Amino acid sequence: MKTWKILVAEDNTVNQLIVREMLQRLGYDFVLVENGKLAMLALQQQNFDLILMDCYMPEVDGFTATEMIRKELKNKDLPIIAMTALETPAEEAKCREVGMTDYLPKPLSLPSVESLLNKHLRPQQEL
Amino acid sequence: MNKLEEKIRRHCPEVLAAGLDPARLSQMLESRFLGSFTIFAAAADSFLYEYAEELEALQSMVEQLERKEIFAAVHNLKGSLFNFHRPDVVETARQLEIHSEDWSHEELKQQFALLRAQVHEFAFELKILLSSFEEIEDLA
Repeated sequence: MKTWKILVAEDNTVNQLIVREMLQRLGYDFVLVENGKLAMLALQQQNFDLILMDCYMPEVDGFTATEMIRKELKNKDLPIIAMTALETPAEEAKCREVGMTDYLPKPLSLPSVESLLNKHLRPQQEL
Repeated sequence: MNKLEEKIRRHCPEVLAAGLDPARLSQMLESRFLGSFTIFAAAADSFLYEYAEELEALQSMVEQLERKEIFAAVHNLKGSLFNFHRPDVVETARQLEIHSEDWSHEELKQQFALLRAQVHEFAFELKILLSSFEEIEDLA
């Protein structure tokens, strides 16, 4: 059975700890980086099945990184999930504009993470 | 009442004395920290290690009216606070974040002063929780 590999881009240390514990609990293989620039680098070196992307990070934020993944790396199919509290309608619009696939509401909870990962990864597993 | 709440009520008198709600705390532990005191402790330690420096940096940004930097710094602080038990502190941070571009300098200073006071209070509570939950861990 395939182990799905997830790239997590998150700069907040408390959130890093929580997402790490949740993905371990759910049995996913993952790589955690702390900004969009490092996410781009990781993506050029390894294959991932999905990205969990924080929106606001230093150096390169999640919006810019997603745009670059879609346009420069020409990766249109990889699910990129924004991890966000979606504070404003403008933020939601921006997520869509740059090509994010879906969003995971913060604060994270295990059921919401599990449900969203199942939604985007399990249908492929059944093929 | 779930098991976690029962444990908190039975073994953490300091938590009750501090006026913290065991039901809300157990819900926080279940939903954010997988019901694990160890994960909670690691997250709380991480917050306590960083928050004073973050507040100091934020204060300097507010004084210098560096609006973009205020947004980024308070967003990060809010991101940590979100995981714990004080939605009122999250809301104070959120207001500062969403108004970082349009509030006057004076309004930003006032909101920061409120946030700083609340975060210090929250940090004090977090230390009580860490110490009390450690006693529960030791019993396990």
